[in-house]
Amino acid sequence: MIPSAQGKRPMSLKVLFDNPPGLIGVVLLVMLLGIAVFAPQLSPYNPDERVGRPFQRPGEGHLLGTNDIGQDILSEIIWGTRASLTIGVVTGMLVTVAGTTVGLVAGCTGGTVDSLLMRFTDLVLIIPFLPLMILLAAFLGPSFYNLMLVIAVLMWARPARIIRSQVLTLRCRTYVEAARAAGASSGRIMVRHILPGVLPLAVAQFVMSASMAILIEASLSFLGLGDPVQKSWGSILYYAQARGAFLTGAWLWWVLPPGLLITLTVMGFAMTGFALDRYVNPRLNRRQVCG
Amino acid sequence: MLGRGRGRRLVGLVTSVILLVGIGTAVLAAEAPGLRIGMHTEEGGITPYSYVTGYPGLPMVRMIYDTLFIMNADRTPIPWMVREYSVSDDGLTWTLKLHEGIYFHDGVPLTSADVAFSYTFMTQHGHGPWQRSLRGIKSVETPDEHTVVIHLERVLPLFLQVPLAEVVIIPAHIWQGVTEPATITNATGSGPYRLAEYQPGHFYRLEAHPNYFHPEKRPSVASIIVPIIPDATTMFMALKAGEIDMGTRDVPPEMVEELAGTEGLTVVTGPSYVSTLLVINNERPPFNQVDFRRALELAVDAQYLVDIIRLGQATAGSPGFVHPMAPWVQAVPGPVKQDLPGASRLLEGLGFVDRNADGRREDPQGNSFRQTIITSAERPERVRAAQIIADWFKQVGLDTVVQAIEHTTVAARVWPEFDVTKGRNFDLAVWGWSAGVQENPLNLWEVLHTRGTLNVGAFSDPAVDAVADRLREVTARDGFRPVVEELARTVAGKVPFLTLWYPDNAYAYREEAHAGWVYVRGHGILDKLSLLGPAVAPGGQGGLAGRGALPWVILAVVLAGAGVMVARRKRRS
Repeated sequence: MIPSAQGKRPMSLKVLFDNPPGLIGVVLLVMLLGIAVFAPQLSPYNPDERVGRPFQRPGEGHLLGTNDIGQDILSEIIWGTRASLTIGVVTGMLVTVAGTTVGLVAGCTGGTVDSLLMRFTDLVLIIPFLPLMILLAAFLGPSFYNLMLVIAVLMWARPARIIRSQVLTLRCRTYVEAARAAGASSGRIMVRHILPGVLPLAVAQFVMSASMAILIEASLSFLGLGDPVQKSWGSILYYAQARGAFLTGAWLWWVLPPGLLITLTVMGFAMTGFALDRYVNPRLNRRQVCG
Repeated sequence: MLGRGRGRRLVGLVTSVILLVGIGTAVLAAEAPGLRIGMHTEEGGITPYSYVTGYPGLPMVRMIYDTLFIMNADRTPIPWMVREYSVSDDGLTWTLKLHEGIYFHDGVPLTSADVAFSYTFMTQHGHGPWQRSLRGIKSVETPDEHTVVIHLERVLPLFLQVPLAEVVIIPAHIWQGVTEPATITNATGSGPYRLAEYQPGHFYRLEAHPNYFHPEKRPSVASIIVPIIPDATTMFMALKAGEIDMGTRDVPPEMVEELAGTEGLTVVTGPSYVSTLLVINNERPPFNQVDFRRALELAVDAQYLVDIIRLGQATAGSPGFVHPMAPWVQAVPGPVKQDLPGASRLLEGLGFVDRNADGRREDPQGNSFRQTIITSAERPERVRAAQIIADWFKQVGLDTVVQAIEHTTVAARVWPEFDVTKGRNFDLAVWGWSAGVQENPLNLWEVLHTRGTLNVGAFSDPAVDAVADRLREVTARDGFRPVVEELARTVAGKVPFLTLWYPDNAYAYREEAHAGWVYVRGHGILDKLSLLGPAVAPGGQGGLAGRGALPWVILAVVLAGAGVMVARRKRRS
């Protein structure tokens, strides 16, 4: 359990289970995590092995047919879950750590440091996101790690802004004032009193960033800017597109399943994120009265 | 309320109007705006100095600019702008008589001075194939407006092909005094089509040259719209939907059946001189040892790659590099049979042994060994080939990694600045040469000789050099065959690189829009020959122009018929 800002409201899984969309989100993520963990047991074939004729239709021992070099598409999708979730989780963590650190330092320090950090954040925020990402991906080269780095480098700014605004409200709270009056150092106040207060928000940001990262990886891979050697849902889509699945009717078993899984994953992360958001910001739970 | 009779008449009138409008609309819609050729690259202003790619850029340049000779569908040179020609006994002086009445698109007559200017200008300003093609020319004289005399430094057995059928003629009145040819945007030539419009990023529009000189051939279509469609799926969808009539992009094997089964589309296939290779860095140990390269060769099954990656639509690579259907050979060494135990034995003989039983061989010094195959990430066929080859290398205990990187980065590491003297930075690379490399036997010297400008793997072997040098001593076209065949046999045992496959090319087009497509051997259908038809009587119209008039005639007949009916009814009433 993570103590909340005031240390009064403990954050537990109940938060998610009380919220039906949150519950659905968690179930989806657990399911996908299960697929990733038990990929060796679940997949009918080794995804790197050529086990059939190229471009085989579903049937004949291949539930989703075979790809352009005769690898089983279902096995590719199951193993691709690992890569896609890894990208989501690792990138989400990178984004959250960077965003939280910048937001925390800027909010707690104030003055020139705050101004400098926030202007830099603004700069990153106003840069056209997709073109720069495509440019960076092309410049650094298509690799699994480069892709995570590129996504993280361009996504940390938004969480930084959000975390900073939360820090600004927290640093005026009485318990922080009290700690300051008692002679606590700035570092201690930041780590012991303010950081716990922003952690639930950081968790929500992590969830959102992870879903965005999965979506962006799939998009970049689809555009041929990912790593075509790495099995991921994005690279499956890339080969499907490059080898004519949209023209030959193979999209039904080659494009739709990984596309659906991407949608479900993003949905899972998003629903979990919304539930966490409602916990962090209880005003969202109040019924809106119009008119 | 309307009476029954009036009501019927009204219904009849409305029906007639709807039918007329419908027929008219359908007829108007049937008239195409011109031949529509989807092009997968953008080629700048399509001048000889601004085009970008050898295909489809160069064939487009050849639509706009003519050459003295032209390569026919069998790739043998035939006179084009030249009416007659002769050569001196020593083979060093060629006299060429030009046709009369050749005009540039702006109406200025083309004379021998333009030919001399073009050859001189292109010798001084290098770009694409021009400067290289003109090597060996000592001087060009123009005794009169229609005669060109070319003096050679040495006998050039392929002179009619290179440079006469290769180098395009540019107008002296436009290019005179130009110092930065790449900046010229005026694409005035004397070819069968003129560039009427260019919208960068969108399309080109070509129109038939109204005063084309050739006594037997004329532009066979009135206008050609060339939209730029870089994405393959978009291009083939446009073809299927009838939005374009032909695509410059080669139809991949997996789509051939789909497009061939689409109503109205015709797919034509044929062998191509393009070659796909696994280039080996011969400078870097252990790849500098012929037995190591031989082990790599034995681990690879070229026919399997053809069957899986090209779905059988290619020819497996010959270890002698030369395409079995190349114009200069009758027989070349056949593909090497895969022999994994044989490869392992060779590696063990070289001291590559798996000492720690981890499934990977260490080098003779006991250090771990890893080789990397680089390939262009934008070309899925090449990435797939690299993956399959890496699997085979792993099976013989060679730790192999595939790196799919951006195409320009691959080029920079394999062939930095397109200059083999600038070095190289790779172990193995999936690479390709365009059709022109196989077509000209002298290019084999460039690929295989120690000093060859296309020897990207830094291969060096005295025996191969000796045979390759004999290519340069050939004085007649017929003399190439025995030398090329011997060169292929000599190279086969030395493994400078692995030739994986020569793809068959397939192109799709709508026959109803244009039926005159010609498959040029080893090249495809995007060629000037495809868009030239028989000359017609003065004042006559051919190609699309004739087809375009038909719908209007039908519409006129329908309207006239309706008018007659209305008039008769009025008279009756």
